[in-house]
Amino acid sequence: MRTYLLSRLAQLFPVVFGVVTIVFLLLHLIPGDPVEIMLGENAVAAQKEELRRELKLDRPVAAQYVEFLGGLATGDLGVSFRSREPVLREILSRFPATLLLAAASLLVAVLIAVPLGILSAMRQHSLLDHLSAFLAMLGLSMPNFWLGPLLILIFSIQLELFPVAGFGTARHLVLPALTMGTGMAAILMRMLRSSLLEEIRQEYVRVAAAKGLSRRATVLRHALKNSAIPVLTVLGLQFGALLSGSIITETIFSWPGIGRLMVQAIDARDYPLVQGCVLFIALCTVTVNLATDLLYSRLDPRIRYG
Amino acid sequence: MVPSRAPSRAAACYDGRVKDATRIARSALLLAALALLLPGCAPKLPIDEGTLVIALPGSPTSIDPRLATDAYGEQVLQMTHAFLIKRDAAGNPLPDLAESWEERSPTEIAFRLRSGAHFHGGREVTSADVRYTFEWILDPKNRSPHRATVEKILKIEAPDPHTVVFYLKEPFAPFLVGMARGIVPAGSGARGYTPVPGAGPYKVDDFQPDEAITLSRFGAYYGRSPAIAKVIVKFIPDSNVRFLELKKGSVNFVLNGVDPDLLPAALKNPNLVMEEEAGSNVSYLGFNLRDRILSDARVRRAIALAIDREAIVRTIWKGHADPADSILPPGFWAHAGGLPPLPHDPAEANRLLDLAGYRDPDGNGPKPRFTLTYKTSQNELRRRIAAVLQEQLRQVGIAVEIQSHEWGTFFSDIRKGNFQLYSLTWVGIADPDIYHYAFHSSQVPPEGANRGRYANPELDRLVEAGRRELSRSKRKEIYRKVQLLLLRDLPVLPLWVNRNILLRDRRLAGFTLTPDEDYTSVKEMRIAGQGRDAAGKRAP
Amino acid sequence: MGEAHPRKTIPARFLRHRGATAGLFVVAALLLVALLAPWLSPFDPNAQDLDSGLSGPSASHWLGQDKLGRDLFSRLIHGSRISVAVGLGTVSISLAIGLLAGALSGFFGGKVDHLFMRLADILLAFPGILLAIGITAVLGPSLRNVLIALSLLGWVGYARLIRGQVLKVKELEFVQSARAAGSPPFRLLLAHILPNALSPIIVEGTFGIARAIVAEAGLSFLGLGVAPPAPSWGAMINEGRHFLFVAPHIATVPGLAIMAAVMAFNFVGDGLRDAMDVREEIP
Repeated sequence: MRTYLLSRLAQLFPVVFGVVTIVFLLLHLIPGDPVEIMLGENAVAAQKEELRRELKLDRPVAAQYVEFLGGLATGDLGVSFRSREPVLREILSRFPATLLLAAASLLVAVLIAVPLGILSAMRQHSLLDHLSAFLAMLGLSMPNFWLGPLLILIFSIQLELFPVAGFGTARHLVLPALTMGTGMAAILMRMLRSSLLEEIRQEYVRVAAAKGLSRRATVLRHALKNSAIPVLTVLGLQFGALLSGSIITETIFSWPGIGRLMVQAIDARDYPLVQGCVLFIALCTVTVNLATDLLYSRLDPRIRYG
Repeated sequence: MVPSRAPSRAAACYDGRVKDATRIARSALLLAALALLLPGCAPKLPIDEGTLVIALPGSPTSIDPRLATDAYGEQVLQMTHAFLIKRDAAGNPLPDLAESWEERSPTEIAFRLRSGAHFHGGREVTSADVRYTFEWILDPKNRSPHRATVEKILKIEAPDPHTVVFYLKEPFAPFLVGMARGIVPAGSGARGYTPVPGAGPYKVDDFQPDEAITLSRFGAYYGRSPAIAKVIVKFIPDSNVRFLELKKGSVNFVLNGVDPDLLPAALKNPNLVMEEEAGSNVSYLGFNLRDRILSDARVRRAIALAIDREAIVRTIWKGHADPADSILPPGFWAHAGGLPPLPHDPAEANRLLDLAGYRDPDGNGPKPRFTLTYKTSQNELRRRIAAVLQEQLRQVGIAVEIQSHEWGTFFSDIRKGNFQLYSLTWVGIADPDIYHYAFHSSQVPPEGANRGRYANPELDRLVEAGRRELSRSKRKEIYRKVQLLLLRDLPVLPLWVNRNILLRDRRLAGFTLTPDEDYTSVKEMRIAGQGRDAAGKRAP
Repeated sequence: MGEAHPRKTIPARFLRHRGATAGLFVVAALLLVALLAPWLSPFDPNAQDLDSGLSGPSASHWLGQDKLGRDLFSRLIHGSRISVAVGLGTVSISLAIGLLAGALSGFFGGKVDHLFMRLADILLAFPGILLAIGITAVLGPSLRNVLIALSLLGWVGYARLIRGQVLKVKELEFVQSARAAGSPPFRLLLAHILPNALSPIIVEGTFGIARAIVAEAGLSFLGLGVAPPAPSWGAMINEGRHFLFVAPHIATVPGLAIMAAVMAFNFVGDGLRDAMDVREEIP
């Protein structure tokens, strides 16, 4: 187990390195002079110099890169151009809101996908099965920047059940979580269904049936448990997609998380903050993917990485 | 060999447990679903709790009276700070911290401060604070955008704690206008986003840039303590959200923040009332006169003729505005009558552009004569107007690229001259000296507001004379010449004057809607049905 | 699933799926509409009619008018051009890059392989459209930048596919013997890889088009896609959501279009996968 962990960590380093490098390059992709873009061409030369020094653009690129890496090691992701606060602090202050939304979305996804997935698998080819498949396809194809406004239209405007946007009560969480959760629910449902179907085909199910256990009991007890692992894996791997999806969903619902922070940073041409957000989200994704991997190998008794 | 019957009882037992588990799970799910969907007990509305919730369409770039220059900042300050003097709707000075003043000579003005005014920290407001505030603004190191309005001050003296004397370098007609400024405690220094204490009716409890600012009643305010104990100002750039929060009651006061097409829907709500008054906010199209293309007056005139202001006023403002021919609002004493109109004349615009040397390469085809970038904030209404202007200019062969940024970035771009075209609104013009502030060649930001970098010696001479001239009738004549000059030269194109539209909960009373969107009368507001009590408790 | 005729042709197997068949019709309709847009739209998509802003469906304006009085139906039709252009363009570019990368990777192995696979891992670490947002945020909104941003990330799947195929074929005996004999391996690879790789590529490409359409719409929604007044469906949804109260059709109709297009491509992809019996998941 430990060797596996170490080998995965070793594999991780080049990926993290590469991610960091790409994010570093983002700032340098800007056509034109970033300082001039941020301050305007007619800005006082002294101000331009100051910002250049602050963004470390006055050094050769290689030196900048080294400083960037060094900064990361100490948690210094630069200073937000607009608020003059450290980027990392801005990000961390908004992260809990995104985590909350992500957790709620996962809950929604599970609540929708698990019953539907189980029923579809148990009643394969039935009307319910086809309907679920269609709904899953719908959920997969519906972009959250459309579902969000649609939910607002129906549940906030016409039925007046939930607030339009914002943050503060449990009710503010419902629509955003539904928006983000349905896409995941679709993926999860399909995954669970096919996983259960595979399990059901296996030997031990027939053995259990022969033993006298009802089909439902078998499914719920054994097949489900064995499917739990791939399902959990999918959830973990989808976390990154959740973070990415939050960019749009938080904008629609004015949810004060990282996604909205990133959009605000883009609107303000606050390049250090944009960089910081991209880096943070990517590194979170990598971390969660690793954790999922490790969890998977730990949980599945059929897999042993020595 | 697997026995077929022996474990059946165990199986049945297990089966039963699974059945229970399933049933419990199902009911739990059902309950959870119901709990989420049922409205349940609705949360209390702010107005029921005695809180005024104002929605502003943007977040102030600063709430320091020495630095704040956008309308949102000014509006917050009108609640949190005491000013040396204030202004009424006609622009005449009113006492605030200064209870009286006298002009000992054209270059010596003495103010008598009231006693008993305190800052939110507890200290009494004295002449030292007034002196500090204005000296800070005067100091070029601090780069205050208000420096231009007070630059004629030679020195400030504070002979006793309640007297401040200003000595001017020369007679300066708009002097009193510059004195309408919030006063901060001496020694405050630069504060960034941290609120600097004021002596106004409300003190800042919490300030979240881009989110909201929370104010609470200041018990030691020198005037009558406000009836409303708590005020929350929310910064909501999304017009839909603003409107819906108003409709649901989580916001109960919106001034000029509801788009004209939503007004009918808003009025369907029995809890809301609308007040409408003539406004003094003039929107204009700004040109960058240092730009090669826009430095040609013929091009600017062509653009002016290509724009159909009537159509925009009619369809986008739905009649809640009037086309403007000057940045002074009509009805203002210095507004010149009989100014030559700027008609909608695309043919003439085409002719002028040809004359200026910018031929249309393919006649009516898609290729433009040239492309200009137009900067706007993210305000949905402004973006819509931008799209209309884009189309109107396309009709005369000018391609427009729209760039929209969040308010702070947009405003900063404009001040720095980082634009070709933009549109903004002057709020609260109180003296024609605005022409100096906005067009004198020395007033390029951060000194003043000459964002287009206009430099015309004739205009410079006129506005300098206008500041020195103390007779109102003579000033009126000077500024008539200024307005004619500006209509000929068009460093900016006046667009329209908006009417001020207030949507508020019907139980909110006491607010005076002024042409310049002043929030000073918030302190007079009360919630009908709730008694006045300095301690904030409900009257029986 | 037992087949009565194990060698039933692929099209026949495809058409057995009702969903996939329906999807195919929709895809064909979409391509046709995109192609014939200027002739199909009753109005100029940018022609403003300010006095009728936010009007609902009427006899002359079948889907109503947007905030500037522009005909929604015409804008929808022209928007299909953007979606199709981005969808096909992204997949084509990604495919080209991916094929090259995968072939080089599989063929040369060693350091080259290592490099490309690491690069793929790194790119996959950026979830969803995160990197596309970052790229278009710094490059600026335009069709060209959208294609760049999306293709930069899209090639990974195809590269892995091809690489897998190349690796498989490389080990085959006759390939090895041909190499030993000195004949150019490329032609062999081409002859043997392409037929096998074609099916998964087509399936992946179909899903790729669907993903690209949603991604472009998402970028336009955030203001990072094609610049206004271009009638990108995503931008139309973004504009429309400010008027949900008074004119909900402006936001809902483009969304339906996106959904229909995406579902169609997804169904077709599913159908193709089953028909061509593509078992391989992208590793």
